[in-house]
Amino acid sequence: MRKLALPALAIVAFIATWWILAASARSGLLPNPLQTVVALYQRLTAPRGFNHVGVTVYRVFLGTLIGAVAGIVLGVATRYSKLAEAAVRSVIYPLLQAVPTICWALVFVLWFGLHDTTPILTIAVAAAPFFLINVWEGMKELDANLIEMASSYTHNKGRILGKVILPMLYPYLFAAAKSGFSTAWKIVVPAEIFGSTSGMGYMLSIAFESYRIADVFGWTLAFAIIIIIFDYGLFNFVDKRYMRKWKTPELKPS
Amino acid sequence: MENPGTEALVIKDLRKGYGPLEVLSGISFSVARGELVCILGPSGCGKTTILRIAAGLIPFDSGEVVINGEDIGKNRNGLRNVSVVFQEPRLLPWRNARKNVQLSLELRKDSHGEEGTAEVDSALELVGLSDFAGSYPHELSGGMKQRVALARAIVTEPEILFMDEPLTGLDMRNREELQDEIVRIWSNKKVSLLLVTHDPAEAIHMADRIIVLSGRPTRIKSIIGVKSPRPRPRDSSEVRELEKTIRGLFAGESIGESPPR
Ligand SMILES: Nc1ncnc2c1ncn2[C@@H]1O[C@H](COP(=O)(O)OP(=O)(O)OP(=O)(O)O)[C@@H](O)[C@H]1O
Ligand SMILES: [Mg+2]
Repeated sequence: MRKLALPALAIVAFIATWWILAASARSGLLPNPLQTVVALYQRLTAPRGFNHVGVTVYRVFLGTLIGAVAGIVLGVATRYSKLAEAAVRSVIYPLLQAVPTICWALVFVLWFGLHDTTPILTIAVAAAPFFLINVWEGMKELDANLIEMASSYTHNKGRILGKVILPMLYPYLFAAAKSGFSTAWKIVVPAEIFGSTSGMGYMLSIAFESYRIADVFGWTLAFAIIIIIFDYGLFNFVDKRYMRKWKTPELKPS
Repeated sequence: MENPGTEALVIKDLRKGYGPLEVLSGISFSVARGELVCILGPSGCGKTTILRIAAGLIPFDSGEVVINGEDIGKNRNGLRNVSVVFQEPRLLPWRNARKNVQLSLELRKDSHGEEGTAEVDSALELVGLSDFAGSYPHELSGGMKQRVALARAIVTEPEILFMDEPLTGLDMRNREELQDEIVRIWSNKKVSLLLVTHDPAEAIHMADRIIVLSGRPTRIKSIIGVKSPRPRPRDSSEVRELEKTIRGLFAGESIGESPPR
């Protein structure tokens, strides 16, 4: 009970402060919490309202998934090929790091127009480096003893990868998924503003252009709620439920 | 010329160096089918190297390694049906005991899911861990973990089992208990067993024959047969006599305990 008391107090204080600020601000500049929730409710219940949420969630998931697959494949390749390691080290990773995501978004708009591909690829490019760097790092920390044990039973590299190496990377993949998703949720807003005619980011920009401040706050609240559900809910659940086994003294601390 | 039908492992004039370091300088010995042979030698003389070569884990410079009549070749083409128990249990921390035992079967063939469950269960029973099948490595003691590793090694029914100081790092009580248990499993499974140890008493207690190695560059100093029937007493005039002989072979140099990892 006491553990919940302080966070609850903080949230109540936050809402109260918001309300007081809204009441004292020049009319219309800052909607109060109730107005914000009402605006969000109206947007969501409008025709196709929920579709915009759905399409954004879909893009975030698919984009992160594509980025994850690309990052993992490249990261794994660094272990098996000197050429791949050199390419990742001196071209691919620096390129992903150095080019601002918005630049990718603009290039994708030029290539694909206002199509689903644009925000999805933008998210993929933003999420990929997290998976790449984590898998790449993880590959360097692999427990050589376990791999020697596995290779005493088989010469099949794929089987060793699937049964021993990838599971050893789970903690790294988990960290990558966490950062990757968090970045995806942030980058989906500009990606949809520039590169789409649907989705929560697009709706946000429409509200902005027509100066509907309550709607801007409403969509922002929607983003915040979804991200909180993800970060605190899903990842904490997976962390507590599945990651414990990996955090045993058997696993070498890096 | 040994008859390939009766020898599980034949090693002839084996040489191996790491870069400029000459380690094995012409080693020849064999392990008969169903025999229990111990390798005893000073620290760093290449005991682990011999097992790694015989298990096909690393290449060698020259010589011949024949398992069940088949030459494994310098470049380890093909995998023989052998298993290794290492000094550390080397269990996967995310798998429980049963799944860890099952791992070797999964790695050997493309078996998915519940295939081999009966074999896994009987291997766990053989090492006395039936009640801990669902436990994770971090919930098991050092001795129990090594038993899981032993079960993982025997579940594949290897032609020859290699063990590299499997009991180093365990306390005395656990060691003696597991020595007897390994001997029991060896005779139960009728497997050929090549076991590395740094403890003369352990070798005398377990082995049919003891291969005593010199320091680097390594050759065989002596091969000692132990004739006394099992179960063997821990202390008898014969044991003391053998131990004295072995210590005499090392005259001054210590047989050396490798640091626990
Ligand atoms: N991969 C390697 N590269 C270079 N030198 C090595 C390598 N592996 C082993 N050595 C060296 O070869 C020698 C023999 O090593 P090995 O591990 O086979 O000895 P050992 O008899 O098992 O020793 P211990 O009693 O410590 O277990 C040692 O001097 C070791 O430093
Ligand atoms: Mg060794």
